[in-house]
Amino acid sequence: MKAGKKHFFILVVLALLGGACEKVWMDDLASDDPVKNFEYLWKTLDEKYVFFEYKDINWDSIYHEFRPQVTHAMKQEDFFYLMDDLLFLMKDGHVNLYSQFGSSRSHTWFMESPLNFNRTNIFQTYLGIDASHSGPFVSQVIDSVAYIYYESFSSEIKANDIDALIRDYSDLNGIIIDVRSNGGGSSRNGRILASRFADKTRHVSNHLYKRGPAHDDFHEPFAQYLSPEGAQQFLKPVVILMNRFSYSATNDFILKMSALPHVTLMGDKSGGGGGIPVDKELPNGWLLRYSATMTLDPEGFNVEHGIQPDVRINLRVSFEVHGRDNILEYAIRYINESSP
Amino acid sequence: MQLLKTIIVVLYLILPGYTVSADNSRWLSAGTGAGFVQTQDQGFSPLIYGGLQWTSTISYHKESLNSQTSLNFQYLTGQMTTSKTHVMQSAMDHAAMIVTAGHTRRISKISDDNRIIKVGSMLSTQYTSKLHHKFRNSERQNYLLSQFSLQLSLLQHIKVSDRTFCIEADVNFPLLAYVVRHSYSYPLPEGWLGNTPQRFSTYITNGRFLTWPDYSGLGIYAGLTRTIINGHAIGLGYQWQYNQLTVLNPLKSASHQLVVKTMFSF
Repeated sequence: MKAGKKHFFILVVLALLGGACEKVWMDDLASDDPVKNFEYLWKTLDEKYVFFEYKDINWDSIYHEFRPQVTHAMKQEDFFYLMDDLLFLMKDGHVNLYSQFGSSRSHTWFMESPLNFNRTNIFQTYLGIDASHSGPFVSQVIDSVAYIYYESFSSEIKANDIDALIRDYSDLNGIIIDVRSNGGGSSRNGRILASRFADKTRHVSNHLYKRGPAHDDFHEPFAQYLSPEGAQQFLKPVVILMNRFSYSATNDFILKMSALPHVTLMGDKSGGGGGIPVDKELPNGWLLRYSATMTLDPEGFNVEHGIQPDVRINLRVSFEVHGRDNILEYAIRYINESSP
Repeated sequence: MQLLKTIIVVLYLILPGYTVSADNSRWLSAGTGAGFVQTQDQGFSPLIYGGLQWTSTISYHKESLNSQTSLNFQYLTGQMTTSKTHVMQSAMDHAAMIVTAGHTRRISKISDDNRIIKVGSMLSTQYTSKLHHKFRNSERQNYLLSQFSLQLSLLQHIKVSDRTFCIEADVNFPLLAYVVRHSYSYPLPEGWLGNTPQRFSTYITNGRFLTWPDYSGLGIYAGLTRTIINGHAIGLGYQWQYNQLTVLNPLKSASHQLVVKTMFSF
């Protein structure tokens, strides 16, 4: 009895000691010290961010420019805005810093481009009060062509939604998918949508993943394929309307569609954002987001800065002031003229 | 590496085979409990997350004076937070399934006061899924940890006022682990899941055999069982487990569990 108690007691003590030791083993790296957080942020991006070489960013030079400005005693808010300035130099919408003071984001890629899109005109003039709603899609038939407006790839596409549209519009001359000012969301939605237009399995992109800390340390390209899915495919002419605000998952969708022979890209260059972003916390609890992969088209072109349209066309003010959209109207004519 | 795999599989298959005893008894037990868990997953954060977790467990034991073989399934779920209250993903849900198979054999004489010391091995496989809040691209990170441990076990049967108790104390020293965890770069694009070739897994995960110092751990269990009637017992156990990876995006995890269980022999 005594021996049993003794051994049991020893084990309990061991467990308690273990519990105490875990405090030592799990050294808490939490810190509000701006210097520690700057070093952590800089090192994380140095090892994980993918576009240093592609964008010709001298990361060491940025370190030497910003490090002297960071002090142990500076206010958290001042530190945040300093890091905001630093991250702005990446010119990457997928590089963000989230804090209690707000979030940082670079919008440089579309600041000097025309919007080429007037949502009010689209709804009032073309979709109208009898527009069809199917899941996240709003659509209308105009001159034997289906116009489908998809506002955000964050809105989930269910197979039934898109299959119903494809079935309903299968007899028309073509389909226009409007992803102008669609800022992205989930690339899963892009795959589901694009798969309804795929005639066969096609190589649509290559993705590069990092495998080590050096700026050029990448795995071999990983090929991504698009295959037909769903009850029915639409293989007549398709036009994708895009602008510089078509970013991230939208850019990825455009890339997939560009591989299909019956698809025409129309409007302005897309916004880009080809890297898949991931998040990492800093020791002070702020969230750092950065591009962790690169996307290339099958020929090796990097789509980080956007995809060129097949037909470049801008929205004309003379149309816009009268509630019209010359890009959409051109797309309708383009499909009807190419229809057999 | 193939040799290591072979050794593990052979040991795993052979050890239970030593259980040859006429006085075998078989037990089924079910338990539930609660505990505290802490995780520091540097794949996404330098911060330590901690919180309560709940556990359910089902076990099968086959034991004799000379040996004990056990198979245990445990499910744990809970939510963890961090002390940094303004952190953007300040909470995570986590769930884990652990399957453990162990076998120990008596190495000491049975003492006058019914004390038995056993030594054996244990193979434990844990699949953990963590769901981070707020931002989709870091939402879910899974890892699989399979560890082969040396187990030292002490059993002490005691009687207090004609009531029979059994004190059990185990210490597990992991010797070798097989870990599948996201590798250097871990973004998982959702759109690829539908038609992704199998080899993509090599880009986002990495399966490796690890031993000290890349992997280290320690497990301690202390339990008290009381026989209510012949063939039925209840138990109270305390379990502490620590695991540490220093490669594949460093990960440290510690958990404390208190479990009550009911046991039936058949």
